[in-house]
Amino acid sequence: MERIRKFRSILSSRNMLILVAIVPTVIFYLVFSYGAIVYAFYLSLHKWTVGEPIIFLGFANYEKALREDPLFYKALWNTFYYAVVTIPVGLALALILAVGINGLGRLATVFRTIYFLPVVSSLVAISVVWRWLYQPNFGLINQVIGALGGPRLMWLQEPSLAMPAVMIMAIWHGVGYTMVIFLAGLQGIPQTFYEAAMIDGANKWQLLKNITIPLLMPTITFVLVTGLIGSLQVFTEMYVLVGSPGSGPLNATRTIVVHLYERAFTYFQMGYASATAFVLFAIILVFTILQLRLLRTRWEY
Amino acid sequence: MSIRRFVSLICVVGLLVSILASYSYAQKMTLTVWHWHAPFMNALKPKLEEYSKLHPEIEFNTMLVPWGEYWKKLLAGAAAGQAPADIIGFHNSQSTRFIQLLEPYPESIFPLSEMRRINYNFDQAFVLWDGKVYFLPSGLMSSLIYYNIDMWKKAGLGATPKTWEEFRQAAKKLTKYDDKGNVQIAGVTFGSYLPLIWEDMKYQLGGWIYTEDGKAADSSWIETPGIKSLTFLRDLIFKDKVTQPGFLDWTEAFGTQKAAMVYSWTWFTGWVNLNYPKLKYAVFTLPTWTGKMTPAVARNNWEVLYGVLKTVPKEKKEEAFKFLKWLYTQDDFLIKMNQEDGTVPGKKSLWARKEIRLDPVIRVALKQLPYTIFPGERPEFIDTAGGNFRVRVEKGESVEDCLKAYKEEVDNALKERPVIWNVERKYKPPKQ
Repeated sequence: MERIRKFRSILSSRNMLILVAIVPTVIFYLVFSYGAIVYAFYLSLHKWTVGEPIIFLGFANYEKALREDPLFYKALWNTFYYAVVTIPVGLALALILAVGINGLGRLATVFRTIYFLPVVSSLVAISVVWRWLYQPNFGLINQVIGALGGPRLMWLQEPSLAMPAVMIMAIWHGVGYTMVIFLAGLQGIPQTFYEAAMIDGANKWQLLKNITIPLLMPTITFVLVTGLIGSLQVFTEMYVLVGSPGSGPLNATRTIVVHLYERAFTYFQMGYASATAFVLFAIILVFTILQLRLLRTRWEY
Repeated sequence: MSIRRFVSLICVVGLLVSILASYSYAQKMTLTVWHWHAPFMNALKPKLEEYSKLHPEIEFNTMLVPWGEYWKKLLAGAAAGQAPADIIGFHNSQSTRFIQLLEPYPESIFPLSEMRRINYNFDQAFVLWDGKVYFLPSGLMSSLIYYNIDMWKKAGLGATPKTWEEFRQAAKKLTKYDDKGNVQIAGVTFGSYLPLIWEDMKYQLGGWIYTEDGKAADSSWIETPGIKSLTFLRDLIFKDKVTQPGFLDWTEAFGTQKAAMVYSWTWFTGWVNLNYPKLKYAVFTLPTWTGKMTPAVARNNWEVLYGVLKTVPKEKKEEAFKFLKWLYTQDDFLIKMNQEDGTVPGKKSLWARKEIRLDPVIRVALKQLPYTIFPGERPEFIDTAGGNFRVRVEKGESVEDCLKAYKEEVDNALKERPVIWNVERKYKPPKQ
């Protein structure tokens, strides 16, 4: 009886309730996330072309990526090019928009909605529209450039322009999201700091430089870290705007994820693609740790 | 009867009906059919319904999967031991990759002797290197020039060109420019098919795709056949300006009447008819350097019917093959498929049919077909490398640089995965 009472008490306890609630999610993640990661690592140590037997290779796939595959370094370069441009430009634009909208009072909601709309729109639909905008002969962008006396630009066909074209669309698509995060951060800055500074004679630029940006550092850190992680994994924008598999004219938009996707699903080199994914994981990990150390905020008022 | 009893009765009857329906559904076998090409699926659907009426225990589900995703999904499913579809539309460019995953057509249902008797050139095209058959012929396809009839007449053009020089002149007459000199209507545009027309022109000059062992691209790519062909195409773009780099994609360009001529394989017939049914167009055979069709005019390829994955459950596999055997007796369906595709039927008995002889695209394709070369497998990575080739050409890089880079890319891919099914050099031009 004592045992039954104890068992019933365990079953009805709060901890048991919590356990029951989270167990399905944990199992889901263990199987579909961590299980998949472990299996991917296993594959990265093997040669496996779908339909053929799996052969153990050790770290040969990693060696191939780092030493023998010229497209890997092209993809790496493109990935960093994309990240180095889109992150600061997107961040700066989002901050400007957030600071501007923050002071609009009631109109802030309207503008917030307008800038957030691209974020919630389907990237596929957006890409179809942008592909037409970029069309060299009939696209709106070239029509405007032509009307201003500029040249006919082959946006998605010219290797030197394809990546900038993707970046423009990506920044336009994502700036609303970053802006909303900054808006939330701005609203967490006490007004008293601004009032005190204005009493001391600070102008708008000084307010931005000495109060807004320092106190926004945790938000900026978050945006930079998540932005870098996202940028290094960019794929969808290339795939849908430039067209399958996303490598673009002369591999101009071939990023690491595009490269590994092509290796996996066009050439069916699953082992090599898995190794490439883990190399990317290592790169992201290193940069994330570096960022978190360097951007640790020391500002307090 | 009270309302409560009436409602209870309705509920019981409804429950019984749903149980009976479920039971009846459970007795049925559902076969899933995949394809990437809407005209083919539309041609197949009436036959699926017909077969279900003859065999009420069999039902069909169909799914259109875009070409870009089709093979990935099939392979991913097959790798996991699943069968995403029971009956799959197949393309022979995927032969090497899929041969381990496809179920051979059973000899008991498809006797080889019968297949050889009723089909054209069956052994070369359908008995693969392991001696087995994995798909059956639909028809033999090649490339033609599609032209807009109204634009042709407006430009005052008469007979269709027989030589590339005549073709160039026609294209120049058909091209229209805006006041800035940009092409508004292309006399001809190639788009992503630039590498393919180059390949055909190279064939006309005695070139090949592969070396004899299939482990590299043939040297003719960077010799006279390749150089002369690319020089002509490059001049069309940059000297004659009959099109412009970055012009509309050729399918849209033709459909929206922004291009007067396009080079295409004849699957385009079904696509144009479906998407632009009011467009008035006609076709002509590829021009040649001399006006004569020897030694060759173009490549051909077999469009094939369906395959069955090894991972399909046994009982479904049996029913799938029985259905495919029945389907292959349905001449009206085969004719429809060939009309959609502009292909000459693999089944020889259909050649005499009026629908084939008088079809406006097939009867033109028939003229050049004996002068077309079947290479065997032509893997997809050749088209991927062709995409980069096209970019280089449109960038204005030199002919030699473009060809060298293209050949290098294909050589590297063939080194990793040589073409096993290489029958290119079996071609012999018809005796004059």
